[in-house]
Amino acid sequence: MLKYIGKRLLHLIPVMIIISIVIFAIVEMMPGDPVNAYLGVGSGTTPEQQQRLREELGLDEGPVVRYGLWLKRVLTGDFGRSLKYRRDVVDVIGQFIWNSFRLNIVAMILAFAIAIPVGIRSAVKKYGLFDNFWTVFSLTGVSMPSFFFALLLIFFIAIPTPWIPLNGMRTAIMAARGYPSRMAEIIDIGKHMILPVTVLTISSLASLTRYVRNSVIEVINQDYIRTARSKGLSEKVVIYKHAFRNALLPIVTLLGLYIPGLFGGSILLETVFIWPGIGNILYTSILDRDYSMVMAANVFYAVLMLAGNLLADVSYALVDPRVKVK
Amino acid sequence: MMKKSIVLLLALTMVLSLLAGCAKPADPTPAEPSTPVTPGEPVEEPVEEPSGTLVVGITEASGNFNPLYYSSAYDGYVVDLVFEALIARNFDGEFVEGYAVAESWEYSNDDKTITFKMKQDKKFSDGTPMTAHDVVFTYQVLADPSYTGRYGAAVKDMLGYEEYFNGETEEFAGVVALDDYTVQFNFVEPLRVNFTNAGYAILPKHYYGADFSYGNTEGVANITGSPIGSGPYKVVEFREKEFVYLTRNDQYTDEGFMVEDLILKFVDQTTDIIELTTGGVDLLAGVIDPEKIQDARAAGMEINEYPRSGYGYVKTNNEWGPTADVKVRQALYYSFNRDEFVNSFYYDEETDTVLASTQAHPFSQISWALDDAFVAGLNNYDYNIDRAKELLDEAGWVVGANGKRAKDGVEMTLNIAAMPDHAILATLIPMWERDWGQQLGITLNVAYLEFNTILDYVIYNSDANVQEWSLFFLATSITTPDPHTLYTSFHSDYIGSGQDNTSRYSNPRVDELLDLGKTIMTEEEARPVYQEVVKILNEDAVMMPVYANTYFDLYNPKLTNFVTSSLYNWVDAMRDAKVVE
Repeated sequence: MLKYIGKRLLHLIPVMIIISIVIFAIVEMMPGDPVNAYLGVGSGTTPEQQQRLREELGLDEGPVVRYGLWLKRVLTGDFGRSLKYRRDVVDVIGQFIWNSFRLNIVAMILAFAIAIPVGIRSAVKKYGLFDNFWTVFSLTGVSMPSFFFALLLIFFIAIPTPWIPLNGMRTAIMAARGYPSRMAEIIDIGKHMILPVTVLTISSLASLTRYVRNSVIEVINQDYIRTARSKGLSEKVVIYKHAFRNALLPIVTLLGLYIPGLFGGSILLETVFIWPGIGNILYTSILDRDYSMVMAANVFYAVLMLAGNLLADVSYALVDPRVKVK
Repeated sequence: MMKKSIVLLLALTMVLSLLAGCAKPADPTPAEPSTPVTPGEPVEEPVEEPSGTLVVGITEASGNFNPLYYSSAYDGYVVDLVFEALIARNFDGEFVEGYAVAESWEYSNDDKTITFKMKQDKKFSDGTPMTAHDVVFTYQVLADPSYTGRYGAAVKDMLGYEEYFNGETEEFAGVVALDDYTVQFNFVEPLRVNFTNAGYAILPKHYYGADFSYGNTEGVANITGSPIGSGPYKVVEFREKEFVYLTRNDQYTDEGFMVEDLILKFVDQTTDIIELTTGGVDLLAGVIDPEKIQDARAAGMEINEYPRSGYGYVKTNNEWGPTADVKVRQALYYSFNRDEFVNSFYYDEETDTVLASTQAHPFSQISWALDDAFVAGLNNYDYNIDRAKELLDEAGWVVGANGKRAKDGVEMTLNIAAMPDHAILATLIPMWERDWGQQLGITLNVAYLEFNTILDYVIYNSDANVQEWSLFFLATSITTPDPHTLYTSFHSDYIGSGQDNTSRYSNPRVDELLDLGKTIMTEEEARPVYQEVVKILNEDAVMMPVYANTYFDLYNPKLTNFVTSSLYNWVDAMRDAKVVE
């Protein structure tokens, strides 16, 4: 198993390099350059000053040389400095990732905790009232843009309910003055999480219940379930012991694919709820042509994606003894 | 992380203040400020203490509160609250002695040198006195060859800048301390606009310049958070994308700024008005949306309104394509119904008013170069399709059998560089399609480009893209009443990649007038020169200003004495404002 993981990790190295070249090339091809975007229109600076700025920031070299230098620095863990924040990119990104994670992990646990029982029940009582309800729910959930749903929640739930905060992660005035206790801070953040977590949970529930349902239905139609039933096992045992465990396999894979999303953040949702997450930062850094930020964030997403895939494969092998690791 | 840096900062401040304490005996300046106390005057007046908290909604801030390196306007608010400059504009937009750090100033006979006397009781928030050496340090950083910030323009006209920047000398002759409280600014030419270059925030050298030397500004750039300035407020806490918490700087000696705590809270455009009306924030500045203004009014909020200093405009390509012909530009101007746009786009149903106006000149509405007689004398290019058709016919662009205008067998096509999802352009383009397209028979080629891509086209890489565009729309904000801002926009020296003359307009007479205008020291004498420039620009239809809108500050009635204008924003207005809980 370890050998397998090691081998997979080795394979990831060339993949990462290719991805980084592609990202670098795309960033390079964006019209405009960081110095112009930073200076803005009408800065009044002379062309000599602008040229010096480029030299100081190492932007005067050709793209190949700059990619080489970038790669060299990244291998030592240095992703460079953000032109806008004037801080190490890793610091800036690190700060926001945990805020996004905090939101996503709660939503993910809730989504799986709800989707699994709902999915099983929908599968067992296929086309029943319960199943139909969730089918409609899923279709609505999948079709409705999450930011729109977020706005609906703000207008119809948060505004009439004074104790549910509209947005943000903390009550500014409380946080500024200092919380009386750690508990008070946790409660405050918890309150602020209500709306965004609701939106995130519901939007992932929509597709998740479908996955679980279909996976269970597929298993129920297998021969060994008929065998289990025919040897007189109770329906409960058949479903939860025999069917569910097998139906879990594709869901485990799904879990692996959810990992990148956990840290990923969402531009629209974070904007609407003013959640200090990573999605927004990446978006604005593209508009600002903050190359170091864009590169670092994209590499980070690529790593997450690859790690998620790897995790899915490995866990699949772990839960399903039929999958032989070679 | 945060904690660590605060501890570090505290330690640093302690060490520095110890050092400062040690240095005191050698300091030749009197310990007490030299203002004489008039005998008989009551020594202890009932002093009003700063009080109350104001929560201000902001939509961005990156936490870079270094005055020499920040780039977002919201970081700029914090910078303006924390730092002071030698000079600042008062409510009337004038520089008055004693209003900021400079107590008085004097011009040399040749007008090339300005000498500032500084107030002697100014202290930074860590208790260190501010001296002329801090001013010199600030400008040395701006002029340094390794400086990577955005404000290099401040020093480019100063004496000895070239030599300093190019490494020929390590002594910057532009800004010199004559003694601890006298600082001299030397310029190459005697220009009226030199003065405002003395208006940059003063940084404490002992803090920002701890490891600064010629050619090494990295240490200065690295201090982004925890700013130390001499302004009325200091930053207590900054939480990225959450809030900035500022409190009154107890070292601030001047009058005013009686609100004790300021919290700059992040809000979103879609819900900010709800936060205002439900009490989550107390102030939203610079709002333009009529619906939000109606909501604020309905909720009993106070409203300040003032014209925006700036406007949205359409610039045409004066060098290439059909718009290189002045008659074509005039025709487009006549057939662009700006009144129709403004009256629909900025119409406020509730008060039956239009929250914007149109203008035919490129001045800011608050420019001192404006007067009513002059404005009345300009060609307004009132909507007149027939006149437009005539002009195009005269220019040789005649309607062909297919209804399209053509000249020498080439159909007239305008390449419009537009931004997607832009409410104003989404209204303008159909109007252009109707008037320029259907009425005049011009083919419009609309390219939707992201903001920085448009700038790349028309500014940053304009030389390579001259033949790509005919016209574009952008908006501008003008931060000074001085019409010298026209210089970079219309002087032929500024045509080219990275330069501001985006319409690529070249006129020797305009160049001459602009060169003359900047050397005239008084507003009265400079006014007719700039008016002549604008008269020519107006006739040549170089640019078409589209709208000049009105800005609104919406705020909770607990904020009193809050007076704002286009050049006196909410930060400035805090000087007189109070919070009555």
